[in-house]
Amino acid sequence: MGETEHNQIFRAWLKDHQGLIFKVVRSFAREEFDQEDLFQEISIKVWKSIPQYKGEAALTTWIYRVALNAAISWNRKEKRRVMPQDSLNEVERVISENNQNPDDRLDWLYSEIVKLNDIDRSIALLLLDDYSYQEMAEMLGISANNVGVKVHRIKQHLIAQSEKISYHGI
Amino acid sequence: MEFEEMRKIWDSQNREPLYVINESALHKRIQSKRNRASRVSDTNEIGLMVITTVTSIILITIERDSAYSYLSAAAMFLVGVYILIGRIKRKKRVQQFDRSILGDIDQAIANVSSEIKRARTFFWWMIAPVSIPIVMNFVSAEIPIWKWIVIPLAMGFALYITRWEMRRCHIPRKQELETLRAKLLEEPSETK
Repeated sequence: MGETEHNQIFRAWLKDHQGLIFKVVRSFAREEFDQEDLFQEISIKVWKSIPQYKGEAALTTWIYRVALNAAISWNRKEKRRVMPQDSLNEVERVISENNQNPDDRLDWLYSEIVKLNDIDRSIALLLLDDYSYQEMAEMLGISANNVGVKVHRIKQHLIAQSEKISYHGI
Repeated sequence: MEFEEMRKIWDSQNREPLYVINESALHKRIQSKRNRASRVSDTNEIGLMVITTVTSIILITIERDSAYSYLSAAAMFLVGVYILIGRIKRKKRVQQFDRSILGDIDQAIANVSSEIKRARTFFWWMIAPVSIPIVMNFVSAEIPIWKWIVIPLAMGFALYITRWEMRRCHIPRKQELETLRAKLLEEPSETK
């Protein structure tokens, strides 16, 4: 595969699946500079994964897996990394928030997801995006039963959290 | 709130992307990060292979009439071959794991385990084969005392650095990965 073709595929993948990548970014990184860094990390992993994609899985599933794996791995490294607050201003930004219609309920949902551990966070994302237990099991490499138990726990947790808050929008 | 309501809230973001991408900045950043990442991952192995090969060439070029130089050169060359074999095995291993998050974690664990193994056996595959011919050479000739001190010190320092890196970086990384793996495979016996 030539460099031009590789870049073309990457652009097309990014265009069609940017929403998915943004969801992963926002679920794993709270701060602006972290979101920027994680987005770049995921983009690189997606770029690198192009030659390995043989079409066995649906493209969305493939990109989700690559993105989640990159985010989990980034999160581990992130715990050891300290970035100065002003460093983001020194470089050209790769992503900027598109906050035309902010939704408090969505912000709340993300704030709850980000509190979960890496694995539960990944499952919560897949669950909200309506993946089946079997698809989640294949993506994560665990049994569908195990996924079912985790899903049940996550659902109960989110519902319990939503009951705790008294917010007019929710 | 019911979970289905949460899903509706979640789906609302599909109508409008959360961020806007600066494609040209992203392309530039990918190029630079990609190059840096592959440089860093290859530096150790390729660097060691170059050092061992160049050192063995220097040894047989400088002291052509010393059998110990040939022995040292051969030892260095074999160390280079050992590193090359390890590198090929590592690259092959990448293809063996399944394409799931668990597969990726297992692959990362296998990689870090091989780093730990290499650091633990550093004495046997690097220090010993290189030191033995040097010491034999020292014994057979009149060698200044400072060389007797400096060479073991340098070897000891290399060993210390390798072990330090293993304790400081590789072992904690492996523990983190194993914790993550356990978390993934954990089957909670009861739910809240």
